[in-house]
Amino acid sequence: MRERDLNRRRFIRVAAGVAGGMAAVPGLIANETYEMPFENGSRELVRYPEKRPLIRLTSRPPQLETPMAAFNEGILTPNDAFFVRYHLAGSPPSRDVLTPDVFRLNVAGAVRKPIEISIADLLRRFEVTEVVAVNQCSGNGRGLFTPRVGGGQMGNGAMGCARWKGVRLVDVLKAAELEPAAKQVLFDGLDKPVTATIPDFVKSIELDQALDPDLLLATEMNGQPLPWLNGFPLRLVVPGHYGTYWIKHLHQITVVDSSYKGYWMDPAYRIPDDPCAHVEPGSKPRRTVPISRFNVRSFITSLAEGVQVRSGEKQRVRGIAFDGGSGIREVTFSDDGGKTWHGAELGRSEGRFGFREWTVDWKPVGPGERTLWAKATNRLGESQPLEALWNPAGYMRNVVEPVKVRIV
Amino acid sequence: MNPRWLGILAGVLIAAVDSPADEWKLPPETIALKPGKGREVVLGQCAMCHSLDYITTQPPLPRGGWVASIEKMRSKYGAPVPTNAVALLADYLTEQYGKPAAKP
Repeated sequence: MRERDLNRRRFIRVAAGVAGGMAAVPGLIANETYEMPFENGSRELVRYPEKRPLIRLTSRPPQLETPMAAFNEGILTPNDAFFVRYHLAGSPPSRDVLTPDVFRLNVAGAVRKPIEISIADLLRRFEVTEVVAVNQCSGNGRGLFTPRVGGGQMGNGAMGCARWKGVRLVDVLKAAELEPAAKQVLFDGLDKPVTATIPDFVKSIELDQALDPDLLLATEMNGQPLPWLNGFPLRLVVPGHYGTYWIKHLHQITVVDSSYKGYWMDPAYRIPDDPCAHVEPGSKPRRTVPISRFNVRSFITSLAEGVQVRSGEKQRVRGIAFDGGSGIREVTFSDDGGKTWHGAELGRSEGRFGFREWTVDWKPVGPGERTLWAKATNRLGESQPLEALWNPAGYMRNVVEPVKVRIV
Repeated sequence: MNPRWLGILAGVLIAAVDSPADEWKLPPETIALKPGKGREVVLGQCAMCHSLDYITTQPPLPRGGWVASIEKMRSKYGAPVPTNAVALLADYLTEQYGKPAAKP
């Protein structure tokens, strides 16, 4: 089916099939569905603990995506709408092991003074600080890749921006007194594989980056304790970097004097060693490096694909933009598929790591179908391509995303 | 106390104790695999480690894509899939969720 037809089909409807299959089971409520703009993109909307109904990609372990409309509610994504991504089927960890009485953070390895500390003591002992930062899945938008690639088939809703509160990782590492040989820092959460053969989800960060004061051990998002499915009671926050590093239910920090070679660092989560992280569609990269910082992205949030707008009626189009931490310099808007571009007004900055709101006045002139584009540029001058770049793992999508509207 | 009131009180207490546990319950898996030859083997081999939506949400992969996926499960995640089951799994997945080979 052509993409245009698929786009028109993007709407929410009651899944007659699911409802029919489940109506006979008492206590089960039929889930609504959400149509992604790609083949085989029909998804259930399911309510999880502390969450509004979200787009369910998988159930064991849970992977939930935020409907795009939620990004129009403000630059902070509500906790109940924030996306969820786990790797191991023993996820999320049971509430029992996360309670304050039981849960401890351990810092060990190449340190002189190992630490074992409760959340309450962590917050008492170290300075508490905040950062507004976007978290985004490495594979956000993978379902939109052409040619399609295997892996989690998400639209663009595996991202969110929150105000994270916690203590600085650097303060904790310094308190543990690093040994001179320290080279990398490993992070492990309480989510576990279901068999001993499946590699535990452990990520490594180079020491100089781990000492960056931007990195937090967060206990709160948006003024509330972390939701269970977003890492309660503690998660690593790596502003400007992909979610793979933001270890949830973080309980073990290990300083090592060598380069970690675990599965989730190599071969998983690697990108082509190229400034744009891409290769010729269908080909394999010659050399890869670990994925790291976000590239520049922007989205129109006030107008959904396929909506009708009235010709001649001026409106304020709104959206969001973000990058890997240099900050957004400019957003431009086009209503003619990129022939002409108009500067948008940037909203208040909540820091260089957050969503930046943009707005622009637009007077639709019709009738007919129009393709709207938004394109952001960061302070380094990096922008978004008009043609999608491709890599075999489906990472780092940042093409200018078209929104087709119908002017009547 | 009247036994009827005791019954109602017990009901209220059970409901009150029940709800916090319910609050932390994950919703059920709802995906069923399409019928076809090999379905039971797929259920046995794949559903042990992950829900079936890991299969059903994939784009229509060619047979080679499904074989690569099965081999990844075997070599990277240690899935105990016997060598002689790989072809049957790949056939089912390609037939029901894949892209059949182009006709010459």
